[in-house]
Amino acid sequence: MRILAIAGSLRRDSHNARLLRYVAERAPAGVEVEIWDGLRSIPPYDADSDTDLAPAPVADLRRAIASADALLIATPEYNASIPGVLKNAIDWASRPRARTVLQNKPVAVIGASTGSFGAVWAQAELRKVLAHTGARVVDLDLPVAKADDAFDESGALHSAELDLRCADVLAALVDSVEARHQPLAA
Amino acid sequence: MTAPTQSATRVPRGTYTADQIHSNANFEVEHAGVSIFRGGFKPIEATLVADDDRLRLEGGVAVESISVGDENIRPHLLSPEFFDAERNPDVRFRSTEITGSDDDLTVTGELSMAGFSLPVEATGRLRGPVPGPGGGEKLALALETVIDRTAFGMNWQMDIPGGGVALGNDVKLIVELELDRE
Repeated sequence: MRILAIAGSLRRDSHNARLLRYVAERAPAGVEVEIWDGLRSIPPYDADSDTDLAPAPVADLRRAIASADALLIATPEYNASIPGVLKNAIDWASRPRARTVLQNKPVAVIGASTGSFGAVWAQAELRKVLAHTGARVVDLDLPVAKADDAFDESGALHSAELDLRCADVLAALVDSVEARHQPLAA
Repeated sequence: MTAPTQSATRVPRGTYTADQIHSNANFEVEHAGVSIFRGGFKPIEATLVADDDRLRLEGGVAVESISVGDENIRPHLLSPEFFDAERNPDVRFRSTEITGSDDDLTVTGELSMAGFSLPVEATGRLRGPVPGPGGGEKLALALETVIDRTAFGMNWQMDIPGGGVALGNDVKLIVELELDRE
């Protein structure tokens, strides 16, 4: 099983990129987490460019999502919401709506911020947006607060509680992939 | 109060199946608090069996066949926020009791949709049999009921600026079947 991981921050020392690296190292056997770093290359969404011949970075993003079994997105929080660059990439990936690569794609959202709440509002907004695109959104969050001090020198989370929650999120995402073609209990 | 008439008493024994051209399964739900949003499914698979003492109705539609006239809304309805068509490809109904007759018909049964199976009661009319244009016999069955979509896990909602919500919770289901005797 392959999970495509996207950090919503472009910053060189991004806490969210660090969080994804940590999660990638903790992936259970049989689960590969690939970190996608093409966010900076995605152009601003423009309906005039939203044609069958998508801009190359957008086509790359759509291919990467389509070929992954699931997505894991780590978002910072800007002004109580999602960073523009991340929303922009999701808007591109959601098009064309009738055959978006996000439809039914299992997705989990996690997040880190230097504030006290660990990007909970951005995570909630991102889950709402992703559900609207047709994605299969895991109903869990992972708020890593005070991110400046949340990691040790090796990049591991200090908090055992967050570490457990990290495992819960990954397990729920794996379950979501495995359940895709099983009927819901009626 | 009189006991309901068993409609089976006037339907000739046999198995009747839905004629696709003349059968419809549609829904209506309030939109923006002021108007009606409509959609439907086609084809409809349905069978009415008339035994000596009772009628049984069973049928369903494929969720993928949903039509709402908009290519952006349709995939949202197929998504996990509504029908979750990938995991629940069908909507199914099976009657448990059919009582009454003619224009005073009541059908109770179980509706399975989006991973939930819940009891529903529909009312409507049963007409015929009449001779079919191509031979055989035809029945017409028309039923309506109102369900709460949130009981089936379809909880999507958006607030409208200025008050109110985008989508009603009550959904009217309207099924009109023309049935051919096998």
